[in-house]
Amino acid sequence: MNKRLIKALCFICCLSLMLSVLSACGSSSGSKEDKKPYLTGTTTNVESTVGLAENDKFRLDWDAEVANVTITDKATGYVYSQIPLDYLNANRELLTVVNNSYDPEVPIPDYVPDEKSVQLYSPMFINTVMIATDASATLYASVDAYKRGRVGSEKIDGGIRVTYYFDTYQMSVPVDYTITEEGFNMSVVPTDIIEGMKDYYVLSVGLSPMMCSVKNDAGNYVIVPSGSGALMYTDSRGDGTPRTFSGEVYGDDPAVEVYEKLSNKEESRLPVFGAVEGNRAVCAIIESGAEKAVINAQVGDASLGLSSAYVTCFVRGYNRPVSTILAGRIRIRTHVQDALVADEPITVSYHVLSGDQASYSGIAKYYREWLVKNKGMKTSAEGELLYAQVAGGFETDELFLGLPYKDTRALTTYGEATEIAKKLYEISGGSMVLNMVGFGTTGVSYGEVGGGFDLTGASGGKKALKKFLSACEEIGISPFFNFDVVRFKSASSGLGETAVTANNAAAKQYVYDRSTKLRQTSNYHYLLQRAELGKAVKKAMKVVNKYDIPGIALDSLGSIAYSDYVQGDYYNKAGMAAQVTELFGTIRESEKSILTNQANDYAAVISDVILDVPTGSNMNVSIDKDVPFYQMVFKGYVDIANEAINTATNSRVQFLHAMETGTGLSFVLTEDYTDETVLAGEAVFYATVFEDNVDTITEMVNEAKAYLTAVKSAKISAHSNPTNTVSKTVFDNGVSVYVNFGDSEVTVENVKIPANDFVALGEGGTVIG
Amino acid sequence: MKNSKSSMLRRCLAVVVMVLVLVSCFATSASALEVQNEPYDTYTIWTGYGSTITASQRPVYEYLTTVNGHSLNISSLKEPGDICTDTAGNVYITDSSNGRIVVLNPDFTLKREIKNLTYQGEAIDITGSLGAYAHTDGKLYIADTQHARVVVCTPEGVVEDLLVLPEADVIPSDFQFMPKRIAIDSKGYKYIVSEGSYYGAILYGPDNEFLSFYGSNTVTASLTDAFKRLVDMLFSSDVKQQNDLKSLPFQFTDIAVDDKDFIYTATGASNIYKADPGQLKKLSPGGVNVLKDKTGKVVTSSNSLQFSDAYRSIRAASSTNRVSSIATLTIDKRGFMYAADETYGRVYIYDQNCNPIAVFGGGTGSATQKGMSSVVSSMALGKNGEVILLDRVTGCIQIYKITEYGKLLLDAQELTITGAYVEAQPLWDEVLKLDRNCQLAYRGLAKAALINKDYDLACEYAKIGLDQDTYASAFEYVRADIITENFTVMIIVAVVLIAGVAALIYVSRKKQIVLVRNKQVKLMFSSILHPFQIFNKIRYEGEGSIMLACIILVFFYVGTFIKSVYGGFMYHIFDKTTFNSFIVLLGSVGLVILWVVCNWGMSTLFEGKGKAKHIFIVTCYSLIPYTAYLFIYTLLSNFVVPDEALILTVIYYVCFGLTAIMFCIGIMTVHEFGFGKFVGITAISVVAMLVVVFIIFMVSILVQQFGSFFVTVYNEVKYR
Repeated sequence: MNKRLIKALCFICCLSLMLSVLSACGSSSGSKEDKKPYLTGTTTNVESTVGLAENDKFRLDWDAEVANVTITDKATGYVYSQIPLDYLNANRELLTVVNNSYDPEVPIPDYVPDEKSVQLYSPMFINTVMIATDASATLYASVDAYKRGRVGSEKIDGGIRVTYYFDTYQMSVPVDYTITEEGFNMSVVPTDIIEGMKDYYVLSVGLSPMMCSVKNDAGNYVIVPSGSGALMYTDSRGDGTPRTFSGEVYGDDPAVEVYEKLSNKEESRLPVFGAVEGNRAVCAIIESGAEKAVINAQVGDASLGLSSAYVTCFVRGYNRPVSTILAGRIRIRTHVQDALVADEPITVSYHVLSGDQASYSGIAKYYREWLVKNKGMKTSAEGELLYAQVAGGFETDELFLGLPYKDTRALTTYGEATEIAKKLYEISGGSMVLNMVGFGTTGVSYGEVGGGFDLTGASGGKKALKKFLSACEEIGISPFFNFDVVRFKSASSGLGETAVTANNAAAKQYVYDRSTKLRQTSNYHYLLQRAELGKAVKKAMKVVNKYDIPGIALDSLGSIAYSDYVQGDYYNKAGMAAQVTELFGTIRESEKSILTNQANDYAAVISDVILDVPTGSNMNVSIDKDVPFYQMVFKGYVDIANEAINTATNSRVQFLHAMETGTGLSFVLTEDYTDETVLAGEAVFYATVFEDNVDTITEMVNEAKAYLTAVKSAKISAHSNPTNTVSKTVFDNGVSVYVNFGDSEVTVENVKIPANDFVALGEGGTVIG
Repeated sequence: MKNSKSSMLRRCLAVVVMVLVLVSCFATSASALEVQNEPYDTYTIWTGYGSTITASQRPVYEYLTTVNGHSLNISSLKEPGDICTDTAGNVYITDSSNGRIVVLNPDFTLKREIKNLTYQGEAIDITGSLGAYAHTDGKLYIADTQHARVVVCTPEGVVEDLLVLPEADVIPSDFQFMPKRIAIDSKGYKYIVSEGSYYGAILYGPDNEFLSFYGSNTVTASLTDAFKRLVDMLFSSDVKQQNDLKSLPFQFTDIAVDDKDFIYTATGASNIYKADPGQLKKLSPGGVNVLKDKTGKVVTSSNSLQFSDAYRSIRAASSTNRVSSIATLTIDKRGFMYAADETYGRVYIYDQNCNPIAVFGGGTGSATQKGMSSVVSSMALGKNGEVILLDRVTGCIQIYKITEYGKLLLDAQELTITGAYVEAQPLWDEVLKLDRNCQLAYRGLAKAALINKDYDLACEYAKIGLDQDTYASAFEYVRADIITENFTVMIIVAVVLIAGVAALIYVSRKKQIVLVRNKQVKLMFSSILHPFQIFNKIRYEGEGSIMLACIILVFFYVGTFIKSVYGGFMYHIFDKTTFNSFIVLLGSVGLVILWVVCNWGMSTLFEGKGKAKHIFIVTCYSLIPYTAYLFIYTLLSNFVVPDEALILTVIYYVCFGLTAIMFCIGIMTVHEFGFGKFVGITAISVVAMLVVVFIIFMVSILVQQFGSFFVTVYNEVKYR
């Protein structure tokens, strides 16, 4: 009997082991049987046509010989071409599509490309990964489809679908080009991509790198949405080597493992970019599938003579799992998800602007109007003078007879928060926003989902909370309470399922060591499974309703876009915008105000208040100038405030950034300080004590009060930099402000601006304040 | 049934305790609130804890601008080797591979390029130069590494002289002169660092005459090295010994001179496995390191101080080791030392007492953002105190300017290290308002409060700033005040206590009241004064209680624990982040159990008569005096200042001695050993303990390796 049992157990073990191994193999090698077969033979093509699609403003032409799509702006006659026309005309023979008939048995013709044409003069390219060897390769249409493969085309409504066949790896990628009333669109449907060879996968697709290009000249520039927004001037400098930028829209995917974090960076929050050349500009908006897109730019390459910005989009999820192999060696490999991302198309729309709109101010204006029209953004919002984020506490390690336990140390109790609120109310004259952060079970430290959905703990019990809320009501403040519903360390309240990476592991977010830059293997938190976000928001709303709190803050939900490979709809961050929009919509229905921090566009348009708006870019060496593009888009539409002044590198500069865009003054505050924050590795509390900051807050509020009141509901009409150190912002109510970031007094347009100061002028040119 | 329940309960408790103990190894979490203005982290290092603690800090320097070939509109800098500034603030960049010196104005705009040099009608090629020095005499000295000379020219590029290797007996015939760094003092003495030279800097006099080698590093030999050498001497042939690599001192990576003509040197990491201590030195005219480490209670030479903060070598993503290595240094007019770590691209600022002031910058081999350096090759200070970092890989120059907070902090620290504590106080108050994480501010304020006779405040600040000396000085006064204010009460309490105890003894003796009724407890305490008698009873009459022994063991653990946690601040700084109660448990309870097992095992082999139970009981009973010491120490160390530490030492020796005597008697008694045999068996038992520890260690490593192997195999299978 026993022997039988043992045998049976052994058999079950072996079977399950085999099954797990086989299923693991299956998940990576991919079962492509259900996909369409790769097309052999010859392709069908639309003949070269002028006016293949046309409307009042634009005309789409198709040049079948070189497989080039051009769009002509009828008003100006300017032609937007996938392959720059000058180059195309001079190298037509080089770019002619061979269009051989493909037979897998016949070797693919050899072709030595002209290096210059390969990369950027190609209408599209794909990045591929070979699963077995982890080797990646980039295939350019101009070589691998034109010469070693084929190009097919078919007319579609409003344009043309061009399919690029890369015979070498048996991959085909169809791209739709259509014209619209404002310009033109490019679109890829990931599930239409065909991969005919086992083990060779398409990872991402680059769309028309030169379509949004401008000539290399110091007056022209490309705008990228890095952080607040940034300009890259297109002149060739020095030895004319290119300067490049690349940024994933909504930031790097947290579900992709990172072994070492060598730097901090501001993420790209808006799916928009553009290029400006003299009187002409293009505003490109990633209308759908933005979560999967990367915005790239290259400028100043003397050998090309052109600079451009373009999109590459991931069509499949991936991870870079880190494994420690023998002798402590680190191995990082790319694990590519078998399935392509959901069939939501990745669409980039290019909007042609001219005249006054041909500037980054014009692009900002155009984009916000687009948000109003297409994303339902409100058309007005009043700003406040002061934005305070009061932190409740943090988690510390304590010992009881040598036995460690976690405890939450309060830095601000509800009673103290009441006093802070009263004082701030007095300073600001009532024009303030109060956001309570870290009042859950573990304070600001990562703990349970949504801080355990419990606002009574180290900072005070129910009674204290209610007293605080009634005091706020009495004063006239409507506080927000923050709930981190995305990041957590331990399960609670029935929530605790983690999001999963592309290689089926729990998505962990590590804390990185300040000095070694490596991740601390025992210090991490998780991301909540995407499907559970709705449940978490509901629980947060329940707490908010229970205590009748006027506003809910969802810092992480509005700013973190992440993948979850539990469900196909969430691969490669897919559907994050739609999901957050839906969740915020439910909050809206309950008539609660919403506050977000560093909000991505989809969360920003539906928020009442956005805090921690970045004031700079990711400081890429190729960036020439940071501009407050984000603020230009949202000021006057959503109540916004920049990153906190008191914890900034330079508080005065941070104050001036607020003046530059007429946004309120933001501070992070606590009542208390303890050196235990040093041991706990907390980063912000060195400068947050209210007592240390109250004088500065009073001075700054008094200094800015008149001006901020004058522009509290104004929208930004224009922004410029008359000199290297001075910025000028014009609001739609006629108020303008000059901000001097330099260390010496400057006179601009007859306005004398003291060093490190600002001058605001009313409609008639009178100085405000 | 009851037994099984209680056993279950015990098991559960044990599991809970173990889990809690193991959890103590985990690091604390960081929170969602983050500060992010720069691509790099700005922080300071807290000294005093056993381990280095980094703390976020209000920036002392902030990123100002990046200069490169693109921004200057000249061809890109290729492998630039050095950067220096002259008295006017002009910046000289040695653009090695392009064979030119790029000169910038003090505002970092292009001034000129020095190239196509000629001397006496002949072209002077400076391609491959690794260093340059702009002297106060207005001349520019270019270390022309590849051509084995120093080119002396005007700032406009007119060559005036060439300095080559002189002929001197002290210079070995095979010496290769490859000048790479130059420093010149106010009297014109030139210190030239030659690539690959382990003799120190080459010293030239004011008239360019060779004087000597100066200030070479020394080789430190570890015990392992000495042992290896001994083995080699004994067993290796002469040929093999000759062929063995000699340990040579590591060469300087940079040299600098301060306003007082002191020479400072930087020495990078000597290998990829560890960051060497003493990478910064301040040399006397005789070439001896006079830089003192005064960051802790004991003043030592900087030779043993670990500069920078990433002490250990770490395994980077590229599967190579990464170790902190100081490549360059510079000294400002006030004596603050600025050292740049080429591996991490960071700048460390130290004062003359080696206190870390600030850390900023970064890059770690990948610099795509402003303010980040891929591999730092050199550093200089600009006209307005800007820190200028040169990146050898990207050819970029990252410039940082001092912040208002930075000015305040450096001013305050300058006053403090010169002893002007009271003058520094208002500055420290301001500093603290801007940055509560500033340890130096707490230390400075503690010293000021001590001078101002505000001893309570001094103690408070000193405790936060982990300044044990100042705390002890202030506490002496605080204690004196407490005693003065409460003298009468204390005397009364003492008299009452003594009288009470005396009365108790008198009454108990007269009325024959037994204070301790339990026989076993009485026996246990009697063992301190009558060890032979009691241990004989344990051995032959089966006396002695396992439970009491266990209770002593628990007290021993608790005592060890509270000594670490609640011991006086003047003697011991408790660091929660590194404290591991599991290690304490192993070091106390574990050690006793291991001893009992090993001693029992060994003594069984050598005719020992004692049972494991007996060994355990006598060992635990022997620990009573030492356990008492642990509690007494914990209490007294909070009141006794270091000047009176003799009291604690005497108590320690008395208790430890008593424990040792009891232990010897106990073990001898239970085994019926003579002293000689006891010593022998004890030594064997200790060896056995080491063997057991070694085996446990090996097994755990093996298990870990196996685990790692299986995880790797699983991952490989799964990911494919």
